[in-house]
Amino acid sequence: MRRIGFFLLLLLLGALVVGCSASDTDTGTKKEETGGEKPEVVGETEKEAGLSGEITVWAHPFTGDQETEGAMWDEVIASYEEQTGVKVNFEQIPWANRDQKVLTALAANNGPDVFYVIPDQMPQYADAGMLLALDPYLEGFDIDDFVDTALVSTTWKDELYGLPILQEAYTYLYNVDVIKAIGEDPANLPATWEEFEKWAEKAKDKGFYATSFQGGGSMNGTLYPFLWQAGGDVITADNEVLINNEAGVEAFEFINKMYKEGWIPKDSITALEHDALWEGGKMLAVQGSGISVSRMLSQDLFEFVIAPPMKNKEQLTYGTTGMFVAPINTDNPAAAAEFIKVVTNSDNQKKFNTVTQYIPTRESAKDIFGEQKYLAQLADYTQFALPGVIHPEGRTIMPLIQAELQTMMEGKKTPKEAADAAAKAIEGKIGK
Amino acid sequence: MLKKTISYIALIVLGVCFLLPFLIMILGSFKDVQYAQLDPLFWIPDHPTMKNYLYIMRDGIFIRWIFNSVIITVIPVASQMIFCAVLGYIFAKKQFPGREIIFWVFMAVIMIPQQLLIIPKFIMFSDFGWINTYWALIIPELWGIMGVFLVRQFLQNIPNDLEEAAYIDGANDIQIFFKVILPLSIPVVATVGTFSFISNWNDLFQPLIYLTQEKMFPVTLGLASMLGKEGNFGIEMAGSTVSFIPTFLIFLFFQRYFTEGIQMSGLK
Repeated sequence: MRRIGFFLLLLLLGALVVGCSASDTDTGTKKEETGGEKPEVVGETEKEAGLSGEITVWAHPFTGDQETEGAMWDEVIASYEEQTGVKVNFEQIPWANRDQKVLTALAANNGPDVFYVIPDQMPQYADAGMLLALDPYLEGFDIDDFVDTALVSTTWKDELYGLPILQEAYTYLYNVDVIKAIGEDPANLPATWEEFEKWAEKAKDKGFYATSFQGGGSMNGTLYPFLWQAGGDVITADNEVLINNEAGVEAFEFINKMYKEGWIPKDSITALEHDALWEGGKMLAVQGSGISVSRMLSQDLFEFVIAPPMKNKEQLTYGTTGMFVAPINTDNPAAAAEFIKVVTNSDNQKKFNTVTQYIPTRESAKDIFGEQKYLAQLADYTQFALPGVIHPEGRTIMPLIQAELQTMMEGKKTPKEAADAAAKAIEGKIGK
Repeated sequence: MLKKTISYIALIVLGVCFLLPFLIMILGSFKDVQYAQLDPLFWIPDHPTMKNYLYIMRDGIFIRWIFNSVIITVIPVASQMIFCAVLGYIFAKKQFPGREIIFWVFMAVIMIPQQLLIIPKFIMFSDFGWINTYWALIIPELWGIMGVFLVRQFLQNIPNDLEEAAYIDGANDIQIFFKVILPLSIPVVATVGTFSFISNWNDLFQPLIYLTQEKMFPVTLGLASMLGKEGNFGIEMAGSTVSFIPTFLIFLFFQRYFTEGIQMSGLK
């Protein structure tokens, strides 16, 4: 017994010696030399002199298949290391609490040199002066190949802070059985609000819901697409609040009509999903993206078709964009910028998006879904996909708008009153 | 009789409610599906598979994560049991100037939100070279004021006569602590250990902040790092089941002490 105890103690001590020493690639000390000062913006001089050193890259697990994803990253990183001679320390960071992790590390001047962000995060970080502007590193770079809507979320106040690697497009998926049940043609799907209203009325008459509405979820999936389709917007980068203009009120009215007419379920005010209704064949259409398509294909419940994003005055929808950015306190800015360029080039986007099943943000990389008709179709629609409200308060104003939308659906405010109240709440938030 | 039957039915219903999530977790771990469904029939695996368990164990890294979890849990648990017992004894039985003030100053630390301390702690640990090491997760957890509070409350219920009798018999302070106080404090010390185990084993936030290298991850962080953006129901359930077992066993073995300690320290 004593021998076993001694052995266990030895094992524990060994583990402590190994586990308590920071390894060579540890990010724990890498910023000591720079002391957290803003690096000089380096343009051609350093690039011409060549890149060197090492960088730390933080990305997240995009799929559940870590082997395939890991092999993809190995290939992408090898192409960068071969091209530049810079060593990459790639670290996979969980999605959970990623904001706290990134912000803590950056505030402590001990973060990565390149990391992944979504449109909600980019303007917050850029506005706080935490990101490296990439424009000085992009001379001669072919940026025209990127889809215009993908670049919307990478720019804040005329400065480009990131390059996008993936995009999504949310649009309506229709249940073919329900389309037939209401006597319509699956090959001729609604393209405008007016056409959709006619289908919705028929669906209701036959005992189906027209669509899902997740009033408890993000505004990106509820109000915003209708707002953009009506020709409106929420707020500009210059803090001009637009949500209660004519187009804004029209969007509020359309949602109100859907609820009052019973085209969307009763619990839509607070619902987070209507999967059971959709999967149970009781709904004509739902808004979905590539993930929804994968889910439908894996479940094989019924035949479905995908419609282009709807149009009222504009043909627009929501679709997030994922991008890589570099922090302002990176100690190897040129190498970090180069990594962002390499990881988002056409070849690497093809590799990345083939594995993750997102849509490439470069036109030249979009041919990867040749055999997959649904994803190929969605890839076509990213040109209409806006990445949300690009503003440092984009995420924080959402609950304010949501509360007004819910109040309207409860019948306690008219669409105009709700839109005005949302505008007032936003102005209060941004201190206007 | 009717009253008894009703209370039994109520207890059974409550028991099922509490057990259901665990049942779903265990059954789900044998299903090869990415997405969960609301249909109760879905929970029963039609073709049970070990695929999820084989996936999480695939390249040995999961074993390393378990090992890391053991290290960052066992050392703080042992240390908290010792320190909290000694400090709890001092604050409960020893008289010295400023005793109450010092104790309540310690207690006030509980009021400071962890999020407020995370950046200063990160900077400090970074200066010490503790990022991506066990130190950042072990050292701050070596003692906890909550444990001291529990032991102090428990020992305040023990009459001073026992201590005085031991003094009369010629025992010194150390002998009294180890031979009189500690044997009596086993339930509360076991409770402190159990609380510490659960909190350290299940902690995701601190490892997430202080660790970036996969080989240093504990189970919680390792599992989180395995999951794609959309998650994977089967893998999540398998990982949760494996991660849950040690906590379950600890609670099972120390259940008696745990209940007793909670009751006697007045923490109900």
